[in-house]
Amino acid sequence: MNMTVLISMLATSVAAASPLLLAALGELVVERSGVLNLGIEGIMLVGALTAVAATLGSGSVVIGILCAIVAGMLLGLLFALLTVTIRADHVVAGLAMVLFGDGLSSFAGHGLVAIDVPQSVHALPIPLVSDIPALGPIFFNQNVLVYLSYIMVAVVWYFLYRTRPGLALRAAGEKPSAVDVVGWNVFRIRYLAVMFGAGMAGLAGAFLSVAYLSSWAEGMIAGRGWVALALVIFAGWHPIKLLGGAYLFGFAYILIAESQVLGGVFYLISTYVMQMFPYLMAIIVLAVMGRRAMKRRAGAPEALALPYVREER
Amino acid sequence: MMAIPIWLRMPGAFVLSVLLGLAASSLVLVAVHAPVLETFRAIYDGAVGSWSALESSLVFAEPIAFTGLAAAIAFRARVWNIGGEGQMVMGAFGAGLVALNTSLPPPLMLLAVAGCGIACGAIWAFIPAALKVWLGVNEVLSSLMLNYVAILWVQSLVYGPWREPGGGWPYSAFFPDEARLPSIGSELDICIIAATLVALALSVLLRFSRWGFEITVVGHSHEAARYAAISVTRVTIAVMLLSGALAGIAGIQQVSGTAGRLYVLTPGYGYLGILVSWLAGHDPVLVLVMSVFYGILIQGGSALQIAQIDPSLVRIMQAAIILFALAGLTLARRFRPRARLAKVDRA
Repeated sequence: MNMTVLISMLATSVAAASPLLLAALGELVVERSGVLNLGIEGIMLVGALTAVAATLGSGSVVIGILCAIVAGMLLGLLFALLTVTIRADHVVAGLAMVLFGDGLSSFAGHGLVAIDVPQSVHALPIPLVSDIPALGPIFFNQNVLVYLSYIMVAVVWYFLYRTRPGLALRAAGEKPSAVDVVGWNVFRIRYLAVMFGAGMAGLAGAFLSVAYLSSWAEGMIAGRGWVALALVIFAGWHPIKLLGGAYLFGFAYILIAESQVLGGVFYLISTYVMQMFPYLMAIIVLAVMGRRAMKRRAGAPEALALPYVREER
Repeated sequence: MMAIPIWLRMPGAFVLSVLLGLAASSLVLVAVHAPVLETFRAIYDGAVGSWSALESSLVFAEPIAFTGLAAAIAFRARVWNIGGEGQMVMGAFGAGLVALNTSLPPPLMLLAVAGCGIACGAIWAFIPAALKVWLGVNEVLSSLMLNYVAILWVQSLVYGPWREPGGGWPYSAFFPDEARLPSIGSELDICIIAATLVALALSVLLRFSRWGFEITVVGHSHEAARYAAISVTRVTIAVMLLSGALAGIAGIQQVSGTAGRLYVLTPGYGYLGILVSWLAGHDPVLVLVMSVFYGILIQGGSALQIAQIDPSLVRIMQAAIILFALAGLTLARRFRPRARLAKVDRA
């Protein structure tokens, strides 16, 4: 394998990793606020379908992507209503969201299967930096949404660790009663966090359908939402550390896609066995993290998946 | 809310949730200009309208009853086994492993098929259990990832070495007759009886045995369990093994009962089991009732297909009912006297 092939594989890995990164960043904010949203797989499905439908309907991919974000946020609103206000079990509510998103997208998307979206999101090399050897073509000859994922990592980091609302959000995930005492509204923080996370999941779904595969297929998210959830744990709930995990998984997906082309050892392994790779990798990563976390207190928010009841403060 | 007697609240909330879910689904129908009444009529006729329709619904209820019981036993101990789907698929694989590769006399064959399927389901559940108790890995994610691995594993077999020679579809050859579950009625098999017996046995065990008590204690608080000298590790592993075994039966039923060959199982029964269990409050007997309800919905979906209405409508209907029931039952539980509001234990 020569250098050019490797560089182009790494570049496609970055693109494949970006939806994971976007969804995981959103979920990270949600979990830091104390809510566990297991439903992102379903939200990503709805986002992916909405993006295709709205792009075909309006003729503009920008509108398509914005609609996907709004659709995600609406599902987030529903999830927040269930978990924050009604205080339903986060695990069950999350699974119900997956079923809901799956059912809704397959029902509504029946007529859109395998229709190509003509308007795609094109690569936009950034002048100067895209000329840097190796790194340039890998990171800076991508589409706008990939750049957005880099920016969002920085934004989420800055928000969580350098602003007062970010501090309040992290505190809502650790000790909500303390946040309440200082006068911040725990419910509002969690609602906003969940809607942000769901919007990011919608965006991630849109990335897959209009910017990556350029069409809609039933169940096309294929477990990426669940992988994003594992990434959050892998990163120890820290936005910067998400980058490594996301790109590792992006590379795994590309390795599977290219395995037949690469030949050699890869040719001998059945594609189905190759496809197990990201999931097995996620389990191994979690196991390695688990060992470390057992020695040192893990980074999980203290109040994760616990409903906040004001009267019990 | 307070004036409604306690015994009426949960069933009342459930019925109300179902009605709201159906109402929401009819809104979807109106939105896509589909005939509302005819759709419900088709579901009713196809799923409960006649004995043969009801029997078909019960066939769908069989695997869900087992995945539901599998979830119930794990969730009672607050062990979040989301891997019922994968354990079910591995159960089907285990059944196929014996049925397609050995030849045994009739009674032994069926026992070996069942035993191997159950063992494969249990082993698949043991992995996340071991990872949880010894390495501190979150079982929600590990059991879930294993679902995908199990499905891909069976795919690799039925698209590869186990595919029926000369067959164009990803199915294995038919199992020999002695590896098929004995049937009762035209479509039903003995799993419906097995599910009932297992549910009753679990009810009794959970309520009256020391083992059931240990599960309850571990489910409420790991700390209390430690004070009572109950090993959280042992209970966690035990419930996961049992849970995987039960999910495995759901897989055996589908390949050795309904289909008679190994194939890539229809996805979703494992996840539905979790929701069914939650709707039933993790009560084994209520799990049976709920699984019949879901069997009816699924059979209603196939009936829609025949009536040329998009069958995925039923999936929206299922999800809508679950969402409303989630809200309704949570609220109904919230307004009950506060007895068991144990803090969620995240270990």
